[in-house]
Amino acid sequence: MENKDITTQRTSDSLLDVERTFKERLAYAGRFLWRDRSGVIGLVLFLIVVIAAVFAPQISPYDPLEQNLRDNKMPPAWSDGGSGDHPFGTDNLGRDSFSRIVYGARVSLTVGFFGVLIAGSLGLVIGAIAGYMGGRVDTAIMSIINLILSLPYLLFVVFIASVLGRSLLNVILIFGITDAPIFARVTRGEVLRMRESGYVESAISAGARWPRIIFDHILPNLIGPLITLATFEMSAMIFYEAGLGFLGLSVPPTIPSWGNMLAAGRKYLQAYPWIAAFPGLAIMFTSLGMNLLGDWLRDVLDPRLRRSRK
Amino acid sequence: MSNILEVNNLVTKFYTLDGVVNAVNGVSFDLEEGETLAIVGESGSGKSVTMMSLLGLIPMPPGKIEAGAAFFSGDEGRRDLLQMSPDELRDVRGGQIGFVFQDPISTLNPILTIGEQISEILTRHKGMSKDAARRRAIELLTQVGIPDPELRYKAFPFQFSGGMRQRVVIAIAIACTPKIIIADEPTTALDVTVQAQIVDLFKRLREALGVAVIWITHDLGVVAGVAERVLVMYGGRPVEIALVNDLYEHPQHPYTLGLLGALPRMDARESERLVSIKGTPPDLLLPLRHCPFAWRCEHAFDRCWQEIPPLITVGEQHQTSCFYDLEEGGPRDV
Amino acid sequence: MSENNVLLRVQNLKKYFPIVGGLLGRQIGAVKAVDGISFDIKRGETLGMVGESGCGKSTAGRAILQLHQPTSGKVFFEDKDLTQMSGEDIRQLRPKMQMIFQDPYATLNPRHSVGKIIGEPLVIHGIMKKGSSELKDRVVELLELVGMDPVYMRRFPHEFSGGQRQRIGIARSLSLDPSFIVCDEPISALDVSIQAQVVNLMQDLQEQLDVAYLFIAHDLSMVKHISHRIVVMYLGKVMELTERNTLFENPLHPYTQSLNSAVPIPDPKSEQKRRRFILKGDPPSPANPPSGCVFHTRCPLTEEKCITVEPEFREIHPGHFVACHLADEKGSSMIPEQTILASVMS
Repeated sequence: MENKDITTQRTSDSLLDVERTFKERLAYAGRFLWRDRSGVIGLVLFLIVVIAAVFAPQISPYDPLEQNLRDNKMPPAWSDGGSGDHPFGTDNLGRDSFSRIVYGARVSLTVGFFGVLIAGSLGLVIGAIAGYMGGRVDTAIMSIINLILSLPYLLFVVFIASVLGRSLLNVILIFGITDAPIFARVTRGEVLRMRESGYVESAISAGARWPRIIFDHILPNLIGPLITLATFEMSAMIFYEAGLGFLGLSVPPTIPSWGNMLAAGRKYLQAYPWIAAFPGLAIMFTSLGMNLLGDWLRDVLDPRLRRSRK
Repeated sequence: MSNILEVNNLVTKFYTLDGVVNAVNGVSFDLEEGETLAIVGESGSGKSVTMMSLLGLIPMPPGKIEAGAAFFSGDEGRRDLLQMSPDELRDVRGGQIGFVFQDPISTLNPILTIGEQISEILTRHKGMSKDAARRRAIELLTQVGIPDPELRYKAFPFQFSGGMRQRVVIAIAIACTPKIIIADEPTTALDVTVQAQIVDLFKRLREALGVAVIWITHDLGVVAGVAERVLVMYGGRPVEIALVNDLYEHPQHPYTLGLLGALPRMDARESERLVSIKGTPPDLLLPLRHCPFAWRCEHAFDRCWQEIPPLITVGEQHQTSCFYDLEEGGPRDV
Repeated sequence: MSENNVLLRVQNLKKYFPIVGGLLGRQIGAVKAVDGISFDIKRGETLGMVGESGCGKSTAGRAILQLHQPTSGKVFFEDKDLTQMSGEDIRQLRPKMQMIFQDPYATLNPRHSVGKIIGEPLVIHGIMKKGSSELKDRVVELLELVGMDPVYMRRFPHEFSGGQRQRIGIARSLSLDPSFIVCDEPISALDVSIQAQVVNLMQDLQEQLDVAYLFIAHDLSMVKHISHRIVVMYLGKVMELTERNTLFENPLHPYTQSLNSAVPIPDPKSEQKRRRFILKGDPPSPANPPSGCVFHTRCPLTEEKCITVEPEFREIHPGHFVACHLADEKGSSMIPEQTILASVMS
């Protein structure tokens, strides 16, 4: 036997066993953050939105619904006629734009989070069945999915929204169901790939039954790609929710949401552009942040890439 | 015989997240006109990075050539490849220095016919007319043993088998009558009967064209049949340079000895236990402070852990970087 | 050797993969990956299986273990026909027949720790409970058996080099005390110095545990080193089967002879002296194999009969099977000394 190997393997395996000093660790962390700077920026942007949504009552200086017609259409604080009381100015009814944007994050994140949760769960189950069973089941499911995906998405959503009427729950359901095919397709592809993978074959040759193969080998390896996809899809849902709001098909106008704010500012775009500009910027930065975050997660969540990414 | 290539103290590093990868740590060798030199080593030995550095194919960043010189005696006289501009290097590459990589698929453009790919080299480097290039390309295809060259001229890479593709790559490499062909594991991806064909082709071409060949491989079996001199690398360092017979009969470095012992012999009747080199290849993230093989060497003594052994001349055209004298069984007197 | 010493018997095993085409996905042909192979493996024996890429050797290994459903033929393992058994019955037999895979990077689940990977087969078959100290002890024992430090059990596959991963894969396949292991190119992804470590380890384990190997590889010299007997495959069929030394000293099939001569010997002097036959061309596609003897397109001795009639796989000497019309006691199938087959630059 070659048990002598052990000592040498250990000593020459510096990455595994050499203790790093504190300074080295700090340098490593620094290099890591610098390499992943775009991911870090994405994470920071996303966290700002989350904090805004969670602590909206504490952060916002005014009640987002409180009207003050005397101070309506005030410009932002840094331009002429602006005041520090209303950093982003006020809208046509004199409501504080900053407070409304902070509260609007709640609608966007709720729609994004629950929409992705529903779409992800549905898609995961459907996609896993299609990928694992294969054959006719797969063909049937994929035909339906391709049919849905071939519809013009925005028109489709607008149509359902106008039939169902304006409510937060409806918006979440619409996105949750219409987005499920995307999750299903990605899940199916990954499951198909994994079913042929070495470690699944290895599990079968060890005598594993199907529940173990699915729950121990396939599902854990799906988490990475699905979280990445969820980030991108959440960003897209926030985007589309604002679009629906702009068309007057999302949450009722009484609820402050970025889409509703855009819609309200549309009339004043020429004379008072800031009313629409700030919710627009909010959407843009949220979307940018989540896309950067998604790109980063894709690499970080793959254990095989973790060390080789250079 | 004069040297066509002289590489002195080449150092190439990669700056990565995990730290500095010391890929090549001071490699020197000469290549004579018309000679076949094999560079042998395992993965991570730096054999491919050495060649990529010479050809200017190291991605920078993260790679960086930190030191060294590589004098190539080409048509424009003796010049340092490492000091050339990217444009000059591109002219040398594929012109006076041809190369053949392990995987012909990645070398050939899938959407151009192989005829177009060979002609393009000829028109670019030799300024041939389209018609002359076509005639020469068909001649080259014949020379590398491709049947029906006129028909095959119009074929796409995917219509060829692995062995035939590698022949096409060789045709491209010799198109401009280069002075050197650098072949990086040219037969590794091929089946053994096809490998024998390609080895045979190389030998014939070398005689016909008088071209020098640098043959990079991990396979000491192929080396025995193809090379005149051998450079063994380990951990980004040359560990032994010798004429081929000398190397196999009197290996002077424990690593070379170990590699030879690790190979089963087809012509042995009783299968003896293979000599295995204990441990794993070196971690290139560690800066080199001593002999890179000391971790795995059963002869390592104090000095091996204190200095990097230089190349020591131990015979005619035979150098080794080891402080231990395998034949005397004790430390060398250097 | 006596009859009851046979552990595994393969009879006329075939595995065809359908080629589907057209809009309707109809079957328009078949890749005859394995096309009627027969041999047996004795207890504690290593049977080597060599052939070039596309000869069906990996498919054969998987079809024997029923990881690919065979198209036809029989596989007797301990006198039970695997091809007639239900999936659950085969599953119950899996502990006795295991597999070591080629690519130690792909076959270890990247999200499982080394301990979990090695112990999984024991948990699957309900031999030991997940998280039990008994299981932990067994994993420690297995890691030590394959020459690795037990502290590594908490680590993940991507932290190891290729050779170490292959040791982990071997430990996993040994966890259930199998009597038969299919080794599918277990060393071809490894460096030379590491290959020797793994081969030595496999030989040591065979001595200790009396396990039989089907050792599949394209590297003839390594197969010769480790095997007792060797099967030579070409385009889904067995060309020759005999003892290792006979295969190299008295190969009867022209394909075996040319394979032998193509393998480089790591010794410049013998390399210069050898006579070599270099075969023309590449192996044909298994989707469209040649008529008669599948080797006739590359064989230097081809006769009329070889093109039309498929040769029978027959026993020329005791224990020496060849599928060649010309093979006989007089050596009619030997490639003559002066034949040089290389047609390069002719």
